Amino acid sequence: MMLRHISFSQVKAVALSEWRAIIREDLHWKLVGAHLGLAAIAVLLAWPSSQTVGRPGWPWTWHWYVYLELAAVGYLSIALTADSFALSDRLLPKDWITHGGMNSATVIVGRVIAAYTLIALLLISALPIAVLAYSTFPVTIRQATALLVIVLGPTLPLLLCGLYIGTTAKERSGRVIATDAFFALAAVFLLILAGTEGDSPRLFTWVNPIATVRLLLEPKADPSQIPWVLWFFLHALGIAILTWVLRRRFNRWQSATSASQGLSKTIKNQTSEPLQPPRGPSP
Amino acid sequence: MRRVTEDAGFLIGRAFRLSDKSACSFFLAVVVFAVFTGTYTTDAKSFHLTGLPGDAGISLEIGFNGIFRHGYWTPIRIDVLARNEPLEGQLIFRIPSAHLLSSQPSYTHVSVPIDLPAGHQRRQWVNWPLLGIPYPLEIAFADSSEREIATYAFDLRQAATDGPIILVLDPEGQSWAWLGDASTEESTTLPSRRLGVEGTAVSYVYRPEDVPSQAMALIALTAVIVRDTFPLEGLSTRQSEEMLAYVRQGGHLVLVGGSTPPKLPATWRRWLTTDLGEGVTSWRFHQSETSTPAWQLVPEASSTAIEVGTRSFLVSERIGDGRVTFLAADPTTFPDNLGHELLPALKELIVSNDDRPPIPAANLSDRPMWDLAANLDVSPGSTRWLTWYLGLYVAAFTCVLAMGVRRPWLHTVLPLLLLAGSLGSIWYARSIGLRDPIVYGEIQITQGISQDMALRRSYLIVAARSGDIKPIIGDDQGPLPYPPWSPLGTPSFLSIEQGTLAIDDMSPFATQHLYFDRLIDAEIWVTVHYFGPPPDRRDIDRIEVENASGSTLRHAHYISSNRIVALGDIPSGERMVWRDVAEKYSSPGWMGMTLQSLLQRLDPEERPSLADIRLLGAAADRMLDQRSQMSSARDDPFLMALAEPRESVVRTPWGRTSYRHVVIVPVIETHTPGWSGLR
Repeated sequence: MMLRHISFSQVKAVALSEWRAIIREDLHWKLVGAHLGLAAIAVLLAWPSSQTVGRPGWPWTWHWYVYLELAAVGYLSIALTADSFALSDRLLPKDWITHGGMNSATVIVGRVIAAYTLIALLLISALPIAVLAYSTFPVTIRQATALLVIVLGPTLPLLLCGLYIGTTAKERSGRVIATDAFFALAAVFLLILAGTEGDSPRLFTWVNPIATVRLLLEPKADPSQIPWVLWFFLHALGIAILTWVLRRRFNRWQSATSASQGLSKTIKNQTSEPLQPPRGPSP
Repeated sequence: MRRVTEDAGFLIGRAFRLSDKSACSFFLAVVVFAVFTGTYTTDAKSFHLTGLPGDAGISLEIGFNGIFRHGYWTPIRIDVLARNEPLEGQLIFRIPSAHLLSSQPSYTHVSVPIDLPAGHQRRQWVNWPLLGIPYPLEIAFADSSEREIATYAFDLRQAATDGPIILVLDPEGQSWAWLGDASTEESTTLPSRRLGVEGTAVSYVYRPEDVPSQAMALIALTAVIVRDTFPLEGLSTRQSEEMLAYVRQGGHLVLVGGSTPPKLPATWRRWLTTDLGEGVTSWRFHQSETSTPAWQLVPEASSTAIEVGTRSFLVSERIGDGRVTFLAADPTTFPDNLGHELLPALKELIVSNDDRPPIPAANLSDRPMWDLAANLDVSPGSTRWLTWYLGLYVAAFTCVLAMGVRRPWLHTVLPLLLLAGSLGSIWYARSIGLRDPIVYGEIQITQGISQDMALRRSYLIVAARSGDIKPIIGDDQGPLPYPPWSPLGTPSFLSIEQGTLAIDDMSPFATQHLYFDRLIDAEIWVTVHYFGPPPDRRDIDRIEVENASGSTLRHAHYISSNRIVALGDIPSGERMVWRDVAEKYSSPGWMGMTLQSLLQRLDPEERPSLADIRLLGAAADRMLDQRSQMSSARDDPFLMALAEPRESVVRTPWGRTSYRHVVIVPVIETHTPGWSGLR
């Protein structure tokens, strides 16, 4: 239904525009550097440097790494689409819709793709660190795949949440506060609901990434115990609801599109001229 | 003691009308221990599992005709015969272990796979340390669908003894009842006994193939008697070598002559000095008209012998710490009046060997050693190199990405950097053993049990890093490893396949404790010269150590019940002598602490690791405690040192291993002649 309204050339334009803004402000390498640094510190701190044979315990390196990635990916998913980072001359969704004449679905998909590519860069760049962490706690391929799905699964709902948060405040400071508050509240909420070790899984376990990751990190974890159909259904339901809410919010701006036809021309031209500041009015 | 042994010799001498009591002087070296109650001998007490498919037969013999020594490695013979149809399944042993204070036994489940075509038979030996406890050893046969179709419960307590066991190798298996006096009858008047068998038990082996082929399975025996009619040539090289090892560690082999000429295995001939002359002759006693066939024994000068006229009736020679005794003729064929006097004396002579310093029984609840083993460090090393590696990668990747904004061609370097980083991580993880599927920690204690032999006891902990691992451990040099008693009653699940032990239930990040013994040749000898005879053990004149072990001995210490002397390191292949040694005095209960404090006070570069210090302290205390329980060796000193570990058993898959090895060597004591009492 939504796909009918999407123009892929416009999606590409939105995504490329996002990337240009990121590169222009050197955000990509700063984020990659910070992420790599954090991952390296986590691995070093949790390195099994004092292991005894009688009490080998679980080397927490892999656990720390997975939880760090879960947190990093979760936070970036919200922050990237909520425009929490200081990117000057960045076009917000409202600009694309009201002045660029794009429909809301195109903007959503374009921004999600841009955020996903940055998250992918972050994860791929940490591959050598992931390999080291994984060596301390070799899990099966099925477990590793399940972990990847569980870590990346919440990103789409969070990206949509980020898009919504981005519309709540005009100023960047407001968006940052909203992003951090939402992330902190969500983290605390999920941590509390994750319960303690030994709790038997319940329905909410499967939509709580922290609880699911904890289950998958147990040595005898069996990914098939996760009700994947239910998991996909709950996530799809969440994504559908968030998309519907977002589109309703974005569609309000479309009524103002005709009033800014001249500007839309300017914006369209700008998307094909990289690294040039926009000539239209600042959002 | 000496008086009793002389009496034994005198009795033999009197039986032969020997007037000179000194002819029996060889008994001076023998210490007598005998228990006389009732009369009991055992026959071949094997049992069968019935109800097997295709009329198949499985028979088992536990110990020696169903008797075993409490806490010692016990041979178990398994004979499987598939008659009309193939036999497929597994033989399951559920072996209980319990401690004096334990409320419940812990079970070791060992399965032996059986896959035998119709018309075939197979024999298999296993050796386990069995305990005479009031829980049965359960044996079951499970078919290929794991359904148990035949079971048997073996009463361990009733079959256990801590008295002498004499094994007689005799095809007929008769006329040796005079040696045994064991009783299995429960007394109604006396308090119930702890173990089922009391007194001297006599067991029989009728065929060479039924002789256990591991010395560790024989060390529970007080003596092995071989009749002339027993086909010794039928023993395999392995069997005869292991029998010899049994003698060298302190066992007693009695070879009884008769009408069959001696045919000793070549392995034995190389060690024996007694000349067996021209074969068989005949003896005629003055009390009797009949003659008795006998071997012609020609003793070496160093051997001790009892001669009747010009012929040697009994020759005894030392092999290692054990003895080989030749009897020219079967004493049961002697005239009644002669045998009546002779047999009790001979019995005393044979049984007296049981007072040799005991081989430590398999200690299944050795908590201090397991605690030390559990604390062995198996960490993959320091993080110094890792920090450099990660720092370099993070900096390189970030810099290339940052510079790529202005120089886009640099982005082509990123995939290469990523690949190099990933490969580097894999290599690093492999090089430090981080990817090993299993880690091992092993403490080895090699304890000299004679001047000729040593017992290497290993405490091995296996920790798997995933549940898919099935570690396989073992070799054919001794009994397969065995799990110790678990205080929590946690069962162990093992299987024996092709002579190796497989751990079936390795949970990820769980551990399996395994314990095993090996008899090895002694390689270190220590002689201490005192200024007084050994019972006094006055000041030490000098200490001589010969180290032929191929490993440098580190932090060697002479330790007795009340003093300790630090000797330092002893290089491999060296013979070192210390004079004017600095003795430090302590009380027996504090010797381990004294040793630890001495080591702790060493300079950091000389000081052994904390694990080594703890191990040396624990081993010293244990040895002194062990000695204090032996009346004959209460104050015997010993040398203790750290040594390079030896790989004890083959293990698959390979993994990071942390070893510790302590050697304990009994001291040969002598005194400096001409000591005047003043120094």
